[in-house]
Amino acid sequence: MVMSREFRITPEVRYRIIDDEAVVVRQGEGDVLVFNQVAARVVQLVGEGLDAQRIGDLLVDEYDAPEAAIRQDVDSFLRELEDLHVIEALPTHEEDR
Amino acid sequence: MSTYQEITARAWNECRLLDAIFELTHRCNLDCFFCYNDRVQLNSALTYDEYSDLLGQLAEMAVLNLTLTGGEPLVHPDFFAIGTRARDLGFVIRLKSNGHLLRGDVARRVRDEVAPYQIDLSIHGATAKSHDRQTQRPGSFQRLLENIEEMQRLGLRMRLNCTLTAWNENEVDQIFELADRFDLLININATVAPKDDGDTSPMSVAPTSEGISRLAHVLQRRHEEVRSRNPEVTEQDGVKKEPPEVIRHCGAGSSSVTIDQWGNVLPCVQWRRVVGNVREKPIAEIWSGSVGLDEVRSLTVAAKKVAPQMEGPTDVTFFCPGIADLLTGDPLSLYPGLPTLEKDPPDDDSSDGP
Repeated sequence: MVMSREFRITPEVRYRIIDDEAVVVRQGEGDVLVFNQVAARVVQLVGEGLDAQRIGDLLVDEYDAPEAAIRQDVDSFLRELEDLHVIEALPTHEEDR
Repeated sequence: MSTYQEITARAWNECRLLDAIFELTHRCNLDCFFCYNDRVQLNSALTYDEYSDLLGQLAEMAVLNLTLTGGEPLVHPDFFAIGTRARDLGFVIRLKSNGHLLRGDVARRVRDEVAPYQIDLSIHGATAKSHDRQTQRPGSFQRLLENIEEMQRLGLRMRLNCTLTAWNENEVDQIFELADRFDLLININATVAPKDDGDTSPMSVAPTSEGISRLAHVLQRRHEEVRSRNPEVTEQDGVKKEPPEVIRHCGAGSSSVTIDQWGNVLPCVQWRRVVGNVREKPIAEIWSGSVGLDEVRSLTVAAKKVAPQMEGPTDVTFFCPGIADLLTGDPLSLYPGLPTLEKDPPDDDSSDGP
């Protein structure tokens, strides 16, 4: 399940939060993606080293919306960002073993 | 949600710093005839620690793009340390280089330690005769071509920059063919700038109006060829998006800033009006509080109204308020040597340049 996993920004990706939006440059692909406020916050928190659970916790505190919906959005954004190679999952402890 | 184009347009309009240019040094391992850099060394140059601190300040300001230029930036003794620090702070790095050193271990270190988004390489013609005449270094053309091949093998993204001059204006087609051979984008600029100290001798090799018209003609032809192969997508999600409107002639001092090797803050590499110094104030304070920058920002709005505008492809640069300021003292004044475009494209049988 995605929510239990840890991620990091893909090494080739550069990003800045500009006016609540995330400007993400995929250096390998040579393109620029722009993400909305919530996705930008997810990118920012992944960049700060927070795991999926903690990102969900913080966004539940920050946004006035049902917790389940927020956690579902976070899960969805993480999957989308992973599919776009903006973030990548870190090996779990079990995978390490 | 915005597009990147809209974000950059907002940066221009609302004065949000998005791009920083570090002129690391004016020293160079080539000796281009038309080089605009004033190579007189003034005070002591910024140290690595000062660059490191400045990069941290710029990252705090969410500056995205960082260009490392010179002179030749690779001859700066701390180039790799500065580049690595910039990479670690998440900048999208562009390197502007003559390419002469970019081979072997140096090229690999640039890829692995600096990880630039793109390397902009200066090329001065389609032949050794024209390129080496400009660099005043025999063999530099051949070496550049070899280095491009090597960097392509290393997976480094490159773009070619060429200044149109009287020495290469008859090679425009061949210059594009050369870029095509390497599958590289090329930007050809029609402006030969005076030296930073106002010396106009480089402008003696400025392109002729016929040469500029020929370039515009080739650009138009290539633009149409690309469009015929790839019909332009003008709609996104079924909604036609108009390009964002910008209120300024250029982003000098409104979305971008240049910092020279002594810490002087300039609106642009071409606009040498000092608006602050990072040794005296944090860059954020200069950006938000400089009277000089405020004036530059007003001037770029005014310049949009007075500058001659080119129709069609926009790869050819025309009016530059920085050059106008340097040559006439008035950033809004037309200046001697300002490239102009003839209305009718010239015949293909071109005459030889000087």
